[in-house]
Amino acid sequence: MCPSDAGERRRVALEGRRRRAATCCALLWLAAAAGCGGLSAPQFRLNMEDIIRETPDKDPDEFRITGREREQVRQGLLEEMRREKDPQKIEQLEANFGAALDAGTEEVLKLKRDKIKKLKILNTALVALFGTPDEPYVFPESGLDIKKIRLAAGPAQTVNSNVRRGLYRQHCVHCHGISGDGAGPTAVFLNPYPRDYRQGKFKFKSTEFAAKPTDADLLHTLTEGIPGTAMPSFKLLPLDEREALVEYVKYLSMRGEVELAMARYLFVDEEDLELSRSTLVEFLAESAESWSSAAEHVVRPQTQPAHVAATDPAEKARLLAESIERGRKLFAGEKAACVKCHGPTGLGDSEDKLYDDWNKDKDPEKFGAEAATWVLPRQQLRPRNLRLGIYRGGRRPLDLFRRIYTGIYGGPMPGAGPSPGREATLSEEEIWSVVDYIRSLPYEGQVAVPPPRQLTQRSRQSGSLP
Amino acid sequence: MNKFWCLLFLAVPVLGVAAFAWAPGAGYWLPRDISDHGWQIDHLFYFVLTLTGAVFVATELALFWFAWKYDGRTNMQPVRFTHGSHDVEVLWTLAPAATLVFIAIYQMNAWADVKMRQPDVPVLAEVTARQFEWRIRYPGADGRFDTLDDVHVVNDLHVPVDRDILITLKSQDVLHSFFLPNLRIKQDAVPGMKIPVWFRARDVGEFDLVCAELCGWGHYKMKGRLTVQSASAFQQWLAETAAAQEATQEPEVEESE
Ligand SMILES: [Cu+2]
Repeated sequence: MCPSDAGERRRVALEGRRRRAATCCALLWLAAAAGCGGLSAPQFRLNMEDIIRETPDKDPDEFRITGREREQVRQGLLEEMRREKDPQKIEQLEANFGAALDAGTEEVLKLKRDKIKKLKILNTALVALFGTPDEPYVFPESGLDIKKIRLAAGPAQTVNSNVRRGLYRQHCVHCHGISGDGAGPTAVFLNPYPRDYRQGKFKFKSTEFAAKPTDADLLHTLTEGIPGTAMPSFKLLPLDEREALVEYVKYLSMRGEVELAMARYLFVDEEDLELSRSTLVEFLAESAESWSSAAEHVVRPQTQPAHVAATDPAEKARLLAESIERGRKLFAGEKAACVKCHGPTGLGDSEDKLYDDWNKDKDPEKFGAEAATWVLPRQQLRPRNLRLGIYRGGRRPLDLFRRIYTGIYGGPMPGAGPSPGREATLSEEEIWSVVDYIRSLPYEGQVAVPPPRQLTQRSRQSGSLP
Repeated sequence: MNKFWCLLFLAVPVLGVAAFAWAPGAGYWLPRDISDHGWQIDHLFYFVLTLTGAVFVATELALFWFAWKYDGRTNMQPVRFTHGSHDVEVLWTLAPAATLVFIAIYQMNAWADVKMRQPDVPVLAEVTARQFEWRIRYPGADGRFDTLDDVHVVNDLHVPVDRDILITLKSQDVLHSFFLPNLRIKQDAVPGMKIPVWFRARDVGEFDLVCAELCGWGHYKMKGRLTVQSASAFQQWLAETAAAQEATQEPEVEESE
């Protein structure tokens, strides 16, 4: 057995890798098959990527029966025999091999069957709480308005001309996906990727760092679009339709958050989920509360920049110039440390590799061949080029103030205002100065030309230029 | 040829003319023209429509007549082949060529009005097309672009009535086309180019601004709104938008539409 051993192990290892590569697709199918019926009506799909990432082993095979369980156990037993030095014990193991193989296989299968059963329970719980894309449902405890959600849900075709439906599938689904996972068919072509609502993390809002956006915030994003990204403006949709879409975004987000909470409970805490109304509402309550209390966390500056209050034009100009100068120093200084990412010229050209939260975990080196199966490969985040005059979350001084004060949730931009357990790094007055400086950057009278460093480096390599 | 088929061929010009006679009354016709120059475009449209319509009806009638008269079952004359008539060929080459030359000269004034005689007024707004929306920029109070007080709006173009309006058209990504049906304006937006567009609107109201160049999967949703308003209303709107853009506090009453 010994000479062929290394070869066999290599073969098994190779197979394992191949198996992994096929996993993601298979898992999606499993998830679809777990709780759902035919292919005619679309279903929300389980967030298997995050569920796997949350489980201790992070092994996709934990959630599916591969048909190779027996081989895995056999390899385990062989390995045990190989490590054993005592000839007597080896003999014993060999005699017991058949029985041990049967018992071990049965145990592995049982664990997997349990996990698959739990996935089914998870799906049942989610359908009970939120219904399906065609037939959405909400508990009153969610605080969501089912009428608005019905207007946004359902197929985009209008069969009955009296009933307007399907706004989400008409306008949003191709980027944001039927489950709100930000992985619709057009998502892969975009940079940045569309928002995955299931994380409950929204970047451009008026509220504190980790607080949920208000309805007005989501409506603003929908109405004005997000310049610098692929999110267009939906200004010309009637207000009631935009409000329906806002409600549907909240619905998908809440569903995703509850799903993750339940998955943690089932697979990390390894508890059993009881499918009773009270248990379901318990899981719903936390997310619902964070959404309904969003308006209490709106950031309202207590002060105004001095030049805004000034009435005399000359005085106004002098104060503004002073503020811009102060902002320039803060921008470059240690305290605010803006230059660390946005660069000394504000071009957003730092050398650091930055990632959004949803890209951070996706280290291709950590996941090996499985990374090749990701629908959305890892995407690097570019710090904003502040000389373009394009502001994703709004261009009002108030918007920029909030961005600096709270930071950007989901991204690496920290807040300069106070947050739980942390002192403010900048005073309000200082933040206003940074705002003034940033607003002056696109018009500084200098042409924003990126340094020619890269070009010369490449030229040197090719040897065409000195 | 069977009489049935002859009559079917005859139905083509009859139904064709009938459709054009019926369409304007039923609302399937040109959108309302509110521009100063649009009548020239419409006039050219009607001129070409009449010309091609007359030729269309004449050829269709000739086709019917030949099919009817030379029915293979009743006409016992042997078939005669000919190598054609030089005179007729000269005629049917020269007549369309002369017509095309005439149209080319006849439309020159309309073309010049829309594409060459740029009014001597400052640029009112810069419209940047991108997938899939119209980003619009006004120069703000100082009348200059690329300063801090530029006013930024999206999908919402406002212009004063009865003024020469000059717009700079740009594209951020691919080819788009800036189409104002009620103003008979259609101009491609080309990446890397700044293209001037001008018009003069006679009526106040809200009109469509649509993209008329298939620019990607979201082309259908690339729709904006043109608001033509009195000069004072326009100035007030511009001032309000500019002020809202400078907000350092949340406005007291949330704006509702
Ligand atoms: Cu377009």
